[in-house]
Amino acid sequence: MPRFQFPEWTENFKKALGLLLAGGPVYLIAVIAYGVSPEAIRIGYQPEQPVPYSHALHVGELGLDCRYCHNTVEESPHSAVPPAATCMNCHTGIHADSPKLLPIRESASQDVPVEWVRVHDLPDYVYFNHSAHVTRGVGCESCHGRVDQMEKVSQVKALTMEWCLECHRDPYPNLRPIEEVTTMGYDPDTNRRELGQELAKQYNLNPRTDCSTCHR
Amino acid sequence: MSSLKLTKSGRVASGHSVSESSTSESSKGAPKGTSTGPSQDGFWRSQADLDNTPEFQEFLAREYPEQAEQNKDPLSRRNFVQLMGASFALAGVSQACRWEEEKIMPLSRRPDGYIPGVAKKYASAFELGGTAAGLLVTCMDGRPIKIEGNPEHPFTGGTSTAVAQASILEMYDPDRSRAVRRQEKGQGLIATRKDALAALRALRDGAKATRGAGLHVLSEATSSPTVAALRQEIQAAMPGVKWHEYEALSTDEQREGNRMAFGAPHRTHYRLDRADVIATFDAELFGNHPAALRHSKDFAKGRNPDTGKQNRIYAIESAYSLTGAVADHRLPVRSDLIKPLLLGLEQALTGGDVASVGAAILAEPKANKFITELAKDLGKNRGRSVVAVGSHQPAEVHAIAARINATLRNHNATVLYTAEADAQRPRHLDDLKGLVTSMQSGKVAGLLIIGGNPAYNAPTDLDFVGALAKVKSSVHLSMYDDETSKHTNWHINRAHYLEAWGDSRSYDGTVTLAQPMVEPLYDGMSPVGVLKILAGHDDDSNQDVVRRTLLAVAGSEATDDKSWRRLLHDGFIPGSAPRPAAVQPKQFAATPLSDGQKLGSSLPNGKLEVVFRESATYDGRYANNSWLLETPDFMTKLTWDNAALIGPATAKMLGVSNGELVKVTVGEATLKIVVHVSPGQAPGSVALPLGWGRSRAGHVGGHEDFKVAAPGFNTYTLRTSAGFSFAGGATVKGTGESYPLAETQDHFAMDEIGTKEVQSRANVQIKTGTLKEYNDLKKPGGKGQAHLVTKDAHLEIEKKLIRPIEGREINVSLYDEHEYKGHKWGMSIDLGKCTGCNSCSVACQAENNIPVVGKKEVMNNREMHWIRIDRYFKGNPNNPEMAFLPVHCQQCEGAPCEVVCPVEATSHSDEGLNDMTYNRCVGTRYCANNCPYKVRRFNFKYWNKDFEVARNKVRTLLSNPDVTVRSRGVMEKCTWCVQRIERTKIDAKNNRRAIVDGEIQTACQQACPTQAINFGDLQDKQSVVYKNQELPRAYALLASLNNSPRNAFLARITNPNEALAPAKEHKDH
Repeated sequence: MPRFQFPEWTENFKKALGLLLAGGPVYLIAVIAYGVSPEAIRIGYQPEQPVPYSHALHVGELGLDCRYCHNTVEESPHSAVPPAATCMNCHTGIHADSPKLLPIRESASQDVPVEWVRVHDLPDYVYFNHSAHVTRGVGCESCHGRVDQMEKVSQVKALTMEWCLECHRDPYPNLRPIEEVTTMGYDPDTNRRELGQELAKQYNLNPRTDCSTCHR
Repeated sequence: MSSLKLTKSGRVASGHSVSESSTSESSKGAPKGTSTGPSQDGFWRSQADLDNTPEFQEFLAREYPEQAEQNKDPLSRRNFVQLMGASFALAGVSQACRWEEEKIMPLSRRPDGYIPGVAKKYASAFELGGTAAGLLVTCMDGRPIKIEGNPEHPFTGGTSTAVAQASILEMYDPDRSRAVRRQEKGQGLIATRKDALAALRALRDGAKATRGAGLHVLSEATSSPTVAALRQEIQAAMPGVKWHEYEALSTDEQREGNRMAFGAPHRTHYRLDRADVIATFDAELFGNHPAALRHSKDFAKGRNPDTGKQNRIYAIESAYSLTGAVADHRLPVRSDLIKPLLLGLEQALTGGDVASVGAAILAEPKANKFITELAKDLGKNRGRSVVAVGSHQPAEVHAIAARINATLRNHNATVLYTAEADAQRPRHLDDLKGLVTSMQSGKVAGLLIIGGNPAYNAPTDLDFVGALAKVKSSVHLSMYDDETSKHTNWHINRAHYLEAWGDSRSYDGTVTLAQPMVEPLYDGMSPVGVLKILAGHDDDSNQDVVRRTLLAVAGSEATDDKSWRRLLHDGFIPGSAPRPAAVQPKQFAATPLSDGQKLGSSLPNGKLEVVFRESATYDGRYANNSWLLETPDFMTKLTWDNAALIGPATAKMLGVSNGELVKVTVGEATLKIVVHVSPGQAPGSVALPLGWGRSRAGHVGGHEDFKVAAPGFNTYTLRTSAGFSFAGGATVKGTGESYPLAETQDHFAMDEIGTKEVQSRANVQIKTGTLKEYNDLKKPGGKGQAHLVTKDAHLEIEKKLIRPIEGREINVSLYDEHEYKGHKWGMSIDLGKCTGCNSCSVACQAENNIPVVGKKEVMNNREMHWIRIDRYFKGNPNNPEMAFLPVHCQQCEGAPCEVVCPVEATSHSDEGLNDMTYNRCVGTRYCANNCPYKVRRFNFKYWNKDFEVARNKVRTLLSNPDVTVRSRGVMEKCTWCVQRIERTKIDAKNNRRAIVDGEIQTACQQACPTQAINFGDLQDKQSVVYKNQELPRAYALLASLNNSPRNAFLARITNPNEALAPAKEHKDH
């Protein structure tokens, strides 16, 4: 049986074949790895919420402080999503008949929860404590981004352990005075690192990188 | 790409064609992600763009996130764009790869003061056998998850017993009764709460016609002022109503004994902190004694050898009790012989002739010497001694002890008496007998049984079940649909004490409030709720009824809101304990000794004595409590079973061995039960723990309906009213069959070589010494003994790595010395105070979500307790000395476990703790292999699998949310409650304050009744733990291994009587 004759044009192809066989899988793995990495999956996660609550409107335009609704953030590990009653503080009068607010009114009157979809989700074995960060000068926007510009909340940081450790190992560029913790778009005039070092001394900050800091 | 739902056109948009609404270039401006869509005149690129579907908007937002701008990753925009093509495709993949969507469901209205994620503590009361312990219950997100003692409670303080710790499991028990049931034609039918109320009203209205005659109430013991008030109202309206009280484990003999001695059934109180010599006669002062927490605390006050002085305990008993375990001298004798011994003691104290008692035991050299020396010691300590008699002993013996205490001038010093509120009540056994007689004669038309389980635990000769059949209408209020509920017409599911309003009194009489932490899970009723119906207060809430009564006791108006809130906050009424009563000793003559009592320690004709005592399940009510069943008994280290305890010499005489099934015959009843050969069990005496072998406890404790075999053996079948506490004339016959026992510690080695080996090792692990040796050690120039710590042993705790060797400073370790900049956590455990009560173990289990593994796996050494109590014996097996060593992770600085973990799942923190990271562990188990203390526990199976069954899901509510619930294949170990440490640290820093010594309490420390465990910051030179670690008697466990553990044990110092020492080395027997 005579050997099969490959066409001429496959000669070039043969040269690239080696590279393809070696590089192809590697490329594929790299791309898939990136694709399923937290940076790709988590960043940009913007789930649909039962109520089209716009932070951009309430925080950005109207100027509500984060803590008006997320009022447990300085005492509790959770910055709790507010109960419907908080919304009704204003919305008994404002837009009292808006269809967009129907789930809120139903929740408040029927005593059932609004089923918000969690955007910033950490694994169950991570015990993150909001109060520890908020009372020490880590701004809300450092981890949650420019919420005052989000019509729908999306996750802007990876929130991976590597990302957390980056700041724990070098917190200075991310610190701000306690009064500025909820400020969106904080931009001090001074060098952020120097300011951070000052604040760390003032607040006696020693962010730990031991395992039990977050894993219990 | 076809899997994408984003663009309908399926076109991949490139990075350059930006929709006009997306302004990724600027960080300010129009909100992201909202595309108002192009006008009809504008350009549009796809149908989706035109339609402006939400998906498209989402696509846009994700496509061109400003986030990429802010993302300071090395990934540049160019790279992103290049990969975007692929990641776009992968968007579909990542949709599938993303984690499950999680919901946040806030309350629609948050109650005042409720902060999600922050625990709140409320005061409550745990009543057992009629006396209360004040509790502070930790509630997280609206449900109770952990029980602690109430530190402000004047009597019981901030510690708790093992049973109190485990009682919370009862509330979330899936086997709890969830509905009302009624019997109709032999069938049990589910009924509603309304039906139950109707039945109660029928009971009441039926009784009204006869002015209450025919209506009987059988209650478990309770000291509740509200129940007493309701009872008064009921009996005032219907004088014919008869009230009965019954407890299977009763302390009534003491009452009756004091009635003999003083003319009134007073309650005896001991002030162990004022006593230098404590003599117990078959008495258990710790454990589940109503005043155990106070006794433990007071006993510990006298156990500080560093002051140069220490109290001394003599224990004369049949079976080992916790008191006997810590005693300096112990004499094991049959319970029967306590009376002649006490009479002999009285003779010795009053200068009489011991032989005149006429008991052979007093002629035996050992007992004679014991009693004589005890008398001498007591004589030297008049007014500073206590002679205590246990609840097993008949009333007369208590009266004799009262007489002896009077002779010793202990009254009003170390032994006090208070008047009992209900002086007319007959003893429990007689009360039940009276009720059963009425039932048998058909005089009982209506019977309300509140709690208790008389069908299971009443003496067999009474035949309670048979009598119950003759009652027209019976109602049982019970937590479980148990043996008694099976035979009553109505079963009403009971609310747990954490779900209900109630009150009680602690042993000293302080009124303690019980408030509900949560609405009853299954709409159960409480005793107050049931009795208020009988009293005619149908429309009052339970809270109002309790409030009325308690405010009256406190001397406030019922409308006084401020007082009520104060009471709710405190959990008790200060100053409500009655003052000690003045007592007038009466003359009485002791009855003559029985034939058995005249004999010596060995009984003729192979007849033995059986002693009924409490067990892990108390009297059987906790038979379904897996925590208690799996907690090893302090003495036998048995789990999941009870056994007949027989002493080594007696076992030899009977020819039975450990783990053999025997037939125990008491009177006409025979029971096949397994034998456990127990060192220190009195010759001729067999201890039978009560409360096992139930037929309707649940999936854990045995249930006939579910075909679940009950663990243990039902020793109630041998108990008659004549032999209620102990009975003579019993026989034990071996059957040759063996029964597997799940013991967590090796059975005491019986052969000489084994014994020698254990003892030689024990001297290294558990250091003990006498007070004299310790005092000598502390003198200048004092030298230590081999078995006791040397003066500088405490330095071994923190072994200096750089040591002078041959004139040079050499670092003897591979690792550098660790510098502590922040906290340096340390712990000390005082072995002199540890009574082996197991509170620490159960508290740890509750706090750290420690799973239960079951009998089979305990036999495979797979029990999961993070802190275990090792028990050591020393000396003659027939009367050994006993010592306890609670072992948990020593948090070694040079931990052998850390260096061998291939994935670094365990590492050392900057503050001295050994951290365990569950999510990283792959289950190599090398760390457990390397740990010299064997404190690491591996999850060989998914122990909590049962919780996933829908019916059992309620059990998950009990888990502490601050601690990971571990799955299969993960190693775990004691973390020194790092979740508590972190919470306190965060809290303190949030509020810009320092942590006070004693603020952080580990679960074991908080529960320990003697406060033997101490935790704190070693950097704080004023802290208790630092001072403890500097004591001469502090030592590190296995210090020669150079682990440098952070935990120090304080050697156990005993205070033996020179004349009796070496008291434990007995050649005879």
